[in-house]
Amino acid sequence: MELGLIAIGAAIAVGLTALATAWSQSRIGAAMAGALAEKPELAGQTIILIAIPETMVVLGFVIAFLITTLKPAE
Amino acid sequence: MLVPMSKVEIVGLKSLFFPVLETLQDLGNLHLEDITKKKGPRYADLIPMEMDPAMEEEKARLQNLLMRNNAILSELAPPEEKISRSDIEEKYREFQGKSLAEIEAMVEEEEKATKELINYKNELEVELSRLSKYEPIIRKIYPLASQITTSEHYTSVALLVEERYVNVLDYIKAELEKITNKQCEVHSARVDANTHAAILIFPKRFSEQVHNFLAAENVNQVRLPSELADKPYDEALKEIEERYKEIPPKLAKVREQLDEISKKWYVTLLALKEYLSDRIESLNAIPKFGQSGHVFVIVGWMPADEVEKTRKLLEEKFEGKVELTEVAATHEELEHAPTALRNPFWVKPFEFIYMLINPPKYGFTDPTFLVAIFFPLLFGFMLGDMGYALVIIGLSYLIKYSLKKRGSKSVFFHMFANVLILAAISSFIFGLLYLEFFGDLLLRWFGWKDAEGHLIVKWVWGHTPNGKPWGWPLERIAQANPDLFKLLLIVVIAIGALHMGTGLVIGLIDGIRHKDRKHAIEKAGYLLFLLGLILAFGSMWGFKGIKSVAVPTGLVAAFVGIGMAGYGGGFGGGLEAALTFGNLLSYARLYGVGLASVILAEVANELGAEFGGGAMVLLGVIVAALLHTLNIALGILSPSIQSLRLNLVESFTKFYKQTDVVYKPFKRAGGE
Repeated sequence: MELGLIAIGAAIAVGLTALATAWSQSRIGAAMAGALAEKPELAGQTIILIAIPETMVVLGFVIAFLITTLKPAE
Repeated sequence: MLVPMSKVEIVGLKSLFFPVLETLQDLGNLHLEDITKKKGPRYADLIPMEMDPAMEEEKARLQNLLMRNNAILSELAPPEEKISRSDIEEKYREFQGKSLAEIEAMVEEEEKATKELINYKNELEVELSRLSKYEPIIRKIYPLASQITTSEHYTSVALLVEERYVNVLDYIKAELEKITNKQCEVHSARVDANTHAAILIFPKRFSEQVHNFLAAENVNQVRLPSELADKPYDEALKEIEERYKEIPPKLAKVREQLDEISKKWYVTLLALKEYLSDRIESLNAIPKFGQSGHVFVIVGWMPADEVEKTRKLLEEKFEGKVELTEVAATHEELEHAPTALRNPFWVKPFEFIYMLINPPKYGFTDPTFLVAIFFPLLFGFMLGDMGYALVIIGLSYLIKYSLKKRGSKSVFFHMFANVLILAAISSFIFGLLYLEFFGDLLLRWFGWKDAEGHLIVKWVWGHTPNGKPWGWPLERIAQANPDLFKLLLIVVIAIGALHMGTGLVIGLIDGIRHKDRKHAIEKAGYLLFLLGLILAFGSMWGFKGIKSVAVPTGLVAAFVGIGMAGYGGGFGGGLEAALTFGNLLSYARLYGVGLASVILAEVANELGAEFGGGAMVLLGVIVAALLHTLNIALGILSPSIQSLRLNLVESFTKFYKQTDVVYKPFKRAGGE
């Protein structure tokens, strides 16, 4: 039971942050697509900016890792 | 590294101004400063140079020549033989010795030789394009029209009707008979799967009524060129077809003649384009210079190691009438000194980052070497696979070969291909450490996996706290060994600490070098915060014996670090120091992205094995190859972006200062 809860906790940590990242990237991506139509020379910066929100899912991954290292009570 | 720059002043007799300008443009090492924007007593007595009417007239003539020259160039195809740079240079030198009137005469001669041919070629092309629009109609109508003969009192109209509306033709015939009192004929035939062609023949005197009827019924008539509109269809179509056949050989002949001219003139025209553009450019630079009664003054920056050579050359060429002096730059001038980079071959490709951000500020450390070390390291850590590395190296060489073959000047793609090669070499080394070759293909081959699919360690380097061995090959999917999982995560955080720490040390050194106390304290604060965190967390995970002392010491150091950063950089500095913790954890992506890549590779192999059992080997290979191709594409994209991001966001934001002036020497650019 506890092992299952740990797994669900880890899944929530990664899942929610992945959704947050995806949402942010969609907003940034749409804005940058508009910006690129005006200024194609911004292509390089666009890639970097789109990668920025990935920190959220990375931190989610770290939390999930910390959760999975918890040991269920014997 | 940044090229040390010297501020120089060139003073000479006004009569020598243009020859000096031409020499400087040839040398191409002086970054011009606008003397009108210079302040201070040194430049107070100088009058800014202005374009006099003669110069304005010269510029207008040059621009006119350039436009005419470009117009001829655009109409000529480059000759088949490769044009060598030395040929262009030779012609360029010839132009340097010619007067503007001589060049004008030459351009006139070229125009004379080409204008008629070019006009004729353009006319033929326009005619061909116009007639080509009638070609499909001719194909459909002509077979029908050729069977019909009309007299001078009769005229005809052609229609194209879609198959589904073919019944309309009966209605048109009935109406036509009414209009012409049955003095008409309608011939129709199916010309392709979807179209019926029809030709209506009727006396000319009913022409207006018939046309009005067809227009009112919105029937699609076939329109012919206006000059043929009065002719019967069979004649008109025949003429169109004949003309359509005549044009291509005529066009080929004209093109042949133009190619002959191109062989003779193309290099000259190219050299003239460069020469004219450079002369216009040098005239445009004039308002940047200063003058007094008899002398001109040019101020600018050049690489320090080129000053002496340039000084001697000017002195010899102009017999001491032109003098180059190196002058001490003020603090304010140094703030806006131009930045030029000079890096060794293995660092140079990484200068591509300056296409995303401005190069470093003059006087500060050029961190390109840091990117050259850490970009491949981070990339390799994520995509550690020997097979993928070999594919990427192959692809990169293919890109380079294709760019070379096409004569592409795209600096970005050249640099990108070189960066990929270096990153892939790192990927190969990490692949060797993980013993990954297209995922676990080698491990499956050698049988180095146990019954549960876990890797068997062949070289034991140590044991984890729960007694499990670890060593070579290093397992990335450490399901059976959570301690190893933890170890790898600690390794990536340590790489992050090293990466960010190196950047902060550079920032600290720059602060000390520039005697900028606050800047140095701010960077020292970040560094102290980082070291405090490493001490506190490191003692929790690795050196448990000193935990009771190390944790409080580390935390105190971290808080002192935030305080120092706040003192040095204000509220923003303190906040940035605290955020360093988040930046450090951000390096966990190295492990996350790597894990995703290796799992996808193993899935590819597993699926390949599942599909490819027995006689279906080929299917298995195709499935595995498709998934590996996808993984390689992701493997190039994702680690590149993540690695770039870690360099530019996590590391550079802590110490990097961008320049607002990039070294752009006054040189022969040939209009590029």
